[in-house]
Amino acid sequence: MLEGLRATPGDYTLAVQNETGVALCRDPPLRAAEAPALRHFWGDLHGQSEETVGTNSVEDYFAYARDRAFVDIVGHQGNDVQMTDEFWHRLNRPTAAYDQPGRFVAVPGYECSGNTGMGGDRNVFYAHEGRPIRRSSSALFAALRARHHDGTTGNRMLLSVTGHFARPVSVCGDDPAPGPATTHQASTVQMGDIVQPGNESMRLEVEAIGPAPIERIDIFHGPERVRTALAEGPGGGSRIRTLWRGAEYRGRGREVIWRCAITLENGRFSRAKAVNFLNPEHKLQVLEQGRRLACHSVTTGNAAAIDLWLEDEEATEIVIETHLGGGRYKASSIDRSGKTLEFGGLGRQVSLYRLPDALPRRLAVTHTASRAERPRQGGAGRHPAFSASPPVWRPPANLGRPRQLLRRLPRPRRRRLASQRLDTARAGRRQRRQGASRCRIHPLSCRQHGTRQFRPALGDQPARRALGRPAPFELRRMTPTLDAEARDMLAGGQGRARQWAIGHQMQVGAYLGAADLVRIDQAHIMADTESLGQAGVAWLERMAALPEAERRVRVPTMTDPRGTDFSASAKLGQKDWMVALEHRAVAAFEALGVLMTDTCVTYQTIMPPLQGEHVAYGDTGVVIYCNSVLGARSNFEGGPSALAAALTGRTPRHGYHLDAHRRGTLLIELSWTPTALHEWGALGGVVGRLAGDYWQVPVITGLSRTPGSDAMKHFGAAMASFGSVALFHIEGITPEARRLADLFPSGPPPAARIGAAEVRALLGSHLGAGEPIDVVVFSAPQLSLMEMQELAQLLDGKRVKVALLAVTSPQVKLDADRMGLAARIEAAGGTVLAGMCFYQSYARELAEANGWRNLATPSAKLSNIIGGYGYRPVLLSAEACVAAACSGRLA
Amino acid sequence: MTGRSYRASAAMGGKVRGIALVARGIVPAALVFNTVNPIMVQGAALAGSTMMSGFEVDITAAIPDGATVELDPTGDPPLLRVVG
Repeated sequence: MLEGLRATPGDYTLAVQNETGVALCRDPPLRAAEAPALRHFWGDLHGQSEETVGTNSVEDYFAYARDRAFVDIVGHQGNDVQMTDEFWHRLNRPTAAYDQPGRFVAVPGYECSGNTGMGGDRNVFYAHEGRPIRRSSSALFAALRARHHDGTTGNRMLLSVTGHFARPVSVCGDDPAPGPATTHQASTVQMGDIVQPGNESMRLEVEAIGPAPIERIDIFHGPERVRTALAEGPGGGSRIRTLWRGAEYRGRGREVIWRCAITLENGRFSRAKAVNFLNPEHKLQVLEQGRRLACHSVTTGNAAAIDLWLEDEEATEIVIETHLGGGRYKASSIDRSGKTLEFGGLGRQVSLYRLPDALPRRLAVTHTASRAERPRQGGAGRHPAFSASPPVWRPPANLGRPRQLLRRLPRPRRRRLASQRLDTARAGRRQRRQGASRCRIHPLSCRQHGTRQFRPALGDQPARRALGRPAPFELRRMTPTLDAEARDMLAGGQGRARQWAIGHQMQVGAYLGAADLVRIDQAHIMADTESLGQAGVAWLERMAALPEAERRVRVPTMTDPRGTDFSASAKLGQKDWMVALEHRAVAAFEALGVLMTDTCVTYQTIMPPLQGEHVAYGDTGVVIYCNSVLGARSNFEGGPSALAAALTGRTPRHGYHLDAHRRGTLLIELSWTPTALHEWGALGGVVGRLAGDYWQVPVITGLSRTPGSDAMKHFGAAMASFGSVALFHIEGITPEARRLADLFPSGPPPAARIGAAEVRALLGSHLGAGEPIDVVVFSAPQLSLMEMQELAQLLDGKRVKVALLAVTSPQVKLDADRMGLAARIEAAGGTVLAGMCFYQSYARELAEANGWRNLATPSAKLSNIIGGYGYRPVLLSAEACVAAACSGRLA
Repeated sequence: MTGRSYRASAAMGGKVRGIALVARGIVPAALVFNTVNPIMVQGAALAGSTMMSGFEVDITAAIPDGATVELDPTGDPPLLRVVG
């Protein structure tokens, strides 16, 4: 609270800084004036509280509006369909209690829910709660009726629009179109006024003071822009803004989903800045430093932009690509007015224009409007937010609404005109529908969206896929075809376990569009008890208690790592109940006939599948390696689904079991080839982030040498972890990528470029040099025999100061014991663990039991995951990890 | 269908712990995605949960936080309706 703050007349902005001078926030502009004729008020007339679809109580709502948001006027608009009588009566109490004439206006009301696709909701306000009339409320309604307010996209711009006449003119008290209206004479009018000026010209004065720098003021006559005033500022003019805006149509579902890419040819940018990127999930992606950017953005009538500062624009060309179209421009040809690409709809467009490095927060313009003009002002701020005033309105000379005019006409012409109006309305609706269907899909999205149909006319959003209660076994849509044996399973002829399993697969297959079930040769089950929990293990035990003929799996079935190494659980600090639960799970799986391989590197230790072999694997690292490096065919199969596949010997034929889904969707050109395993993992992480979707299939080109199995293991595991990716191809290396043309039958898409800089950015640590390291973990995926050998060599002659865990498979552990590798690691103070995975072994409880927080690892996958368990990870080379283990600090 | 639903752009990650979801009773009333991976479908099927995906719009933008929606997963086509 600033006590005793006083101001002399003028314009002010309040800014808050911390003790180091860093700006924390900035207030909307303030104007202090002595006895002003007009005052600005801020209002929010539509909000809800937790009693309907908002948050917190209705009392909190009004208190927040008054005491935190500092608005002058607030309304409550609970949906009428949700508002109970009790709440409506209760709502009247806080509106009356908070309403303070002269200070704060609380307006009672509700939302009349139209519940149609084109909107139709209405704000209903009452001046009373059955109590005395509030004078300030009356002033509010009078101001609303007079349209003396501007509309904004959210910014609080101080906007003044006044018109001046040399001689007094008639100003109407109401709309004169339906009939006679009261008038008075005035030489000065403001936005929203209805004026009958005769032959007088009007001098329009517009002043805007924004909460952010102001870019321009546009003055319109109806829809036509008649004047633009551009704000000036300092700077060398190297800043070019690419701005996209607009909506598909009016009403719900109006949003435009932009997928944009900007590429500089023969030039570079030194800086890029996203403007109005409000969704944290939609970030600006730098595909190639200094040259290429991509983004995903949504506009619903507002705008978003990217500002680029060009280094040398003499020969630079800017290439714009969007899902609607694009263009190529010489940077030197872009001026303040810029270039605009129009894409129909409601102002769907992309604009390129030049801006100074800095812009003022105040902009004013004077415009002399001819007697034919009805000026209206719009101002765009840097965000770029937007404010628009209502027009100073000059009604047409021939007063009367269209229907009234029609009634005056002879009957034949009246019918003809009415018919034309109907046709025009129908054509408009048809055009809007067609406009929405003309969308072209960017390559990045073609897989996930497929063919895009016209939008629904109502607010309903049709989904192509759905699962729904209460009919879990009701198969309404594409039902996979079953052979005789499978039908017998579904009918219960082969026991309850297989009946459950095939019913589950039918549901999944129906959702994902599987035509049938494909027979598999192997299954691999996620089976750690941290995932299963007590109830999950009990579920398994119930299945294990079934008669043997009902419960045994039909194909060789392996397990992913367990939640412990029984021989080391005490050393790790795991609780007895964790170990007991693991024993119960093992017993249940063994009763089902599952092979307790306890490994996530089956392809290096058990039995790698062949190209084209259909399998049902659970671990994402196993799936992506076998799909990509070996050419096998699997989707991600969660624990129960992998068990279902094991019980039936089948899995729904969808996704990566099909040729059509195994083609490339994303082309990535590498300018750098990793050498160390942690670099391969980091590269996989970068590719995974870029893909970001299970249905994307990255195709990699540009490797300078063929990687080994461990490199592909880390590369794929990280890609699956960072991006949920299940399949990638490497040109000339992986079995299905002999030629790019096979992967992109319609031609390759524009390539995203990745080099050492992008990988270094991912390797960047949140830990600083010299910070203590609590634990060093070699895990995820489990170490191969070669990785065990390398670690043993790095540790020879050394002694670790902090815990060093080397996690491998039971199969490799036997060899490592036989060859003395495990003994060498443990001689240096390390711990070799077998059959478990660090992050699936109650990692949070391990941290609490052992005081671990800062974790070093050469696994990009682990570094991505383990932060969620409360650790602070750093991704290092194996050598640096050993050094950190020996010193106890980050070098 | 009533209860709290969860909506997101894409289902990420590999390990939806379907058994645990069912057993622990931490299943939302509905799951709504732009795109799903098979793990999410498997988890929802196992849990008997309502799930929708593959909308013609960006559903994360179309549904405001805290909005009330009605889902009809058995319709043809299945429908999600924002009612408030």
